[in-house]
Amino acid sequence: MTEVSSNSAPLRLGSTSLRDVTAFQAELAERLDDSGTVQIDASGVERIDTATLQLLAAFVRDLRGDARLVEWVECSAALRRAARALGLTSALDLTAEPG
Amino acid sequence: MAELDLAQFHDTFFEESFEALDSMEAALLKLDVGAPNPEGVNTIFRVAHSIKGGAGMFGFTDVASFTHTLETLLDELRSARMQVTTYIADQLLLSVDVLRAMMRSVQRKEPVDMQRVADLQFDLEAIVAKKGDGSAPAVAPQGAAIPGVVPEASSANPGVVGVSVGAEPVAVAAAATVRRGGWEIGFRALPELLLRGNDPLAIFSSLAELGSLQVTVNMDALPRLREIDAERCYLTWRLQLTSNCSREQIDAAFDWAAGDCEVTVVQRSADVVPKAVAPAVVVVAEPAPVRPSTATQVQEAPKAAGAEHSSIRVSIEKIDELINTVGELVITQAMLSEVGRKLEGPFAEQFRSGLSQLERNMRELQESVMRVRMLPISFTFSRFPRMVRDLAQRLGKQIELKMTGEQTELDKTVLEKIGDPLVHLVRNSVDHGIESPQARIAAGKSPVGTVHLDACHRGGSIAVEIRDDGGGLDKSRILAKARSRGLVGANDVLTDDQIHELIFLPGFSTAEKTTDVSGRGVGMDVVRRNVKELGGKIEIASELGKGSRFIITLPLTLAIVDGQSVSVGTETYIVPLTSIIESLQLQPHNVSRLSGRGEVFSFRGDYLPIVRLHEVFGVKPRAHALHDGLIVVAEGDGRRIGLFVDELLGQQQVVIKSMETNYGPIDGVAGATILGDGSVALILDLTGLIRVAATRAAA
Repeated sequence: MTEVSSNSAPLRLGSTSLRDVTAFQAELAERLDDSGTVQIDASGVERIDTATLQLLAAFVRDLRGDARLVEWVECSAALRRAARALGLTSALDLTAEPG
Repeated sequence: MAELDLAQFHDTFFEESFEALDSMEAALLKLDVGAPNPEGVNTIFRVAHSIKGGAGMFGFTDVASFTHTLETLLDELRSARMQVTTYIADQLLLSVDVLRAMMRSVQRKEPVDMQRVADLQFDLEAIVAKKGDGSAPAVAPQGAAIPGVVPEASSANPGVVGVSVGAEPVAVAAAATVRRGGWEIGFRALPELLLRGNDPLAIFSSLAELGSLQVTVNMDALPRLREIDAERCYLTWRLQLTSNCSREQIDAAFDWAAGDCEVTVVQRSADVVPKAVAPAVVVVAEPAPVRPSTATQVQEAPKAAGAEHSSIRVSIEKIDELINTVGELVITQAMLSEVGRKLEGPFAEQFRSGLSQLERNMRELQESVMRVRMLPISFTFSRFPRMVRDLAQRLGKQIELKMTGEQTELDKTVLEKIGDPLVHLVRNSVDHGIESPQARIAAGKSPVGTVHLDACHRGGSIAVEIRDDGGGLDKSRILAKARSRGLVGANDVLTDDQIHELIFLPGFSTAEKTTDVSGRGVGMDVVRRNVKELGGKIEIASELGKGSRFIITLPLTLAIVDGQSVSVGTETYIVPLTSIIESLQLQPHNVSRLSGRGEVFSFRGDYLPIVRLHEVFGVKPRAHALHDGLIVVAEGDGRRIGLFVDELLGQQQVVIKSMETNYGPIDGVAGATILGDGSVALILDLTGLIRVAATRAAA
């Protein structure tokens, strides 16, 4: 049974770009300080770029290092596509696309 | 994708590229075909590389494509896989010309002469392709320093190296036996990639359109979340593209990111074992990852090719504003000094001493500011090696160009305007001065003629000399021509100097045949006029059979002038010292009146016209009779006159205020200045004054 993180609201992702990336990094860093599984809701992502995905990849990897998990509550097709295009599907712990 | 508006960087790109091309040309000219200096070849390569990078980033694909071919050839040369030959050197020089013309067209948004570009590109590729004949298999040093990149090939197939974007591969050779099945692509971002608006996502999706793409990412270089510089891409990828597409199509996907990433592209056969064809010269960056410091980005390379010291670009308007303000400061300080002289009282001495300190500081400030606008004359000299080389070749002459004093500095505007006159003089030396090798041997000279360009500071001026050891000016021919044109009377006796001066008359040329090189000799009068306009003068010394010397003297700066103050009535005028020959007092018997020429006086065996300044400027003089005042013998445009003034006041350096900017052009007046007492003094322009006086005398 997964223990949900004390910051119980899922991390909500919107469409981000290079401009927002540093702020996003800070947000992720905060979550790293918690414990437990991090839930991510990426339903609102229509556009995403390499910088953001790179941060997410580092985030997931660092979480794993702490024996923590990421749970994709919702994931948009756009994010899946972008992750696949960069070969980051497994790095982000995204399950294979259904269908 | 790109949120930046790149157009604002276009100007800088062009400026830097033209400079880079100049340094490329200079390095090419210095290249010793027999034993090329490796640093020189490297410089040339880096220039081509950086121009390609910039062109790629801005989407100037034609320029990028051509430069890519050039870079390929240069890479072969700098890794000694190919030898530099005279033919290759010539083609490289031609490439510089073509690139310059291309970029100019692009800059002006005019159509590029693509035929010329394509022809040369074809020739360059042919050179690279021919290298494959019988040469030892050359292996470019490839350290597999990039994680995730396809391991380097163990043998190179020279025939396919550097197939350029957008052009026909000339020789494919052994690659013909390889069936195209796909490509292995290694991709590594350089730090600025994302910041410049490029995203691997876009690149990979273009590639994915070409076939079926497998992407493997390597996160080894990605730091812990907190240590990441979020705007930098740390990921590298290995891509496998199964496709029958061409190399060009793959390269095109990386066009925009050129210079910001390292890409290796290797073809693999349809067989399972990837048959690496060649460690292909990368489209966008250094092929040898072992030298990360040379993975140059667009902005750095032109600096590496040129300046060793740091500098910034400043607009010329800012500098002129600065100079103007300093000029005003100088005038204000002069006014204060004037007041200080008259001051009395307990603090007068202290004040005066403070003022003289101020005067010293002002002088230093003025000199420093003037120096800001000064540039070494090498900027102008640099065009001559190429020019002389090409001309000599065309005319079948052997000419050695010597240049000394290239670091001598002069004002930017003077520098720009002295270019054309110098070009004309050098052309003259090459065309008319230096004889053909046969003629030279017959005259007992070495078949190789010498043209020597020299620049040095002399007093407050800069002297530029063009010297040749050619045939010299033929005085008898010049005199004969002048006589036949009615410019000189049949019985007139002229001194050598006077004969030499004749060549400055418009339309004068004694060349037997005018070639398209120097034209019909209409240039010399323009040369003199240009030099005069800069406040300088040009002199000739020549000896038949031995050679000629043309000496141009120019002021160091256009903003100040050393002048002699003279008074006429209540007005003060400044006569530039460079125009003054002598001052004297006339006796009545020196003066005569000649019909059609007005008053004249005898001076060193010649009769010079007298110009009464009070008449020219409508001022009431103190002295009416000539022997009551003074004559300042001055020179303008090769002619001498005597200026009649009341008295001489003193010599001083004055700041020139432009008449045109503040009022309008006036014939005979070069500018104005504000004296220490606050009054305005007009600075005389001798050439214009002579013209004005002549008109009045004729009237």
